[in-house]
Amino acid sequence: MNLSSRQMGPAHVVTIDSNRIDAAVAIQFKDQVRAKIAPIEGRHILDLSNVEFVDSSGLGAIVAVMKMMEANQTLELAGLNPSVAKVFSLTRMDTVFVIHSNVEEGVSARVG
Amino acid sequence: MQIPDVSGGFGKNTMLLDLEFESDFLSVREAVISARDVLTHRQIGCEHVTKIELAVAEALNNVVEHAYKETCDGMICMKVEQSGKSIIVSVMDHGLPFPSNKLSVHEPVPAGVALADIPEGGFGWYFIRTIAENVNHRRSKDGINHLQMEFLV
Repeated sequence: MNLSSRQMGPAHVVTIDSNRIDAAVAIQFKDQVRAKIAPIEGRHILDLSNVEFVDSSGLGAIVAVMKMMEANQTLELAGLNPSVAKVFSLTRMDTVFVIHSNVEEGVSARVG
Repeated sequence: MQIPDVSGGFGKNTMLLDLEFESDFLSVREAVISARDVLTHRQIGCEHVTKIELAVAEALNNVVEHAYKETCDGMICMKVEQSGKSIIVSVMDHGLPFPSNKLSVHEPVPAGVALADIPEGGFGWYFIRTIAENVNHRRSKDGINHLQMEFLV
């Protein structure tokens, strides 16, 4: 699983550079994203704009990352492709996460 | 693996894809991508293909996780057929019987649920049932699980 992260103003952005978060990479995804996020306080935005497919396992891994957030951390999502957005809406996970249409909008959003 | 023909009732189908592969998540991914590509080449709408891709992935992942318990020594057969506006996907395996009384089916997350109570999995069957028009599962006497999903496109 390829990912990259960078600080963009008020938010730490983790970009998934692979196009599928499925059962084959769900555990890897969880561990790698956690490693990027754990040491950094504040807002985190998970950039999913390169991701074209998320299955039940991938969705579970994203939820697991959300649950790992400490009191001084938040996780938001950005850049959901239509197929990925569908998985979130079918499960109503779109009501659980703050979702931005893209990273730029997420970074400039006033949250909290 | 000798798999009996279970396409009864869908006699005039066009076979689009017939795959046999090992039970592991990377093989499943390749099979799912093959199914997606074959449907895309049939000029089936992107929205339908996206949903079928998800249901097929969930069905195959269930085989790897539950029928073969991630032991990696089983084979999975998958057929994708078209009959008019129906896409029929058949999945067959030699694994454990389908636990029909023990299905983990999560409904969508209820409004206002606490983060700690949000499930991290188990949406697979919910996706399949939501997306497929018909889902049929049976275990034959020779110990083969047959799952058939019909999608309207």
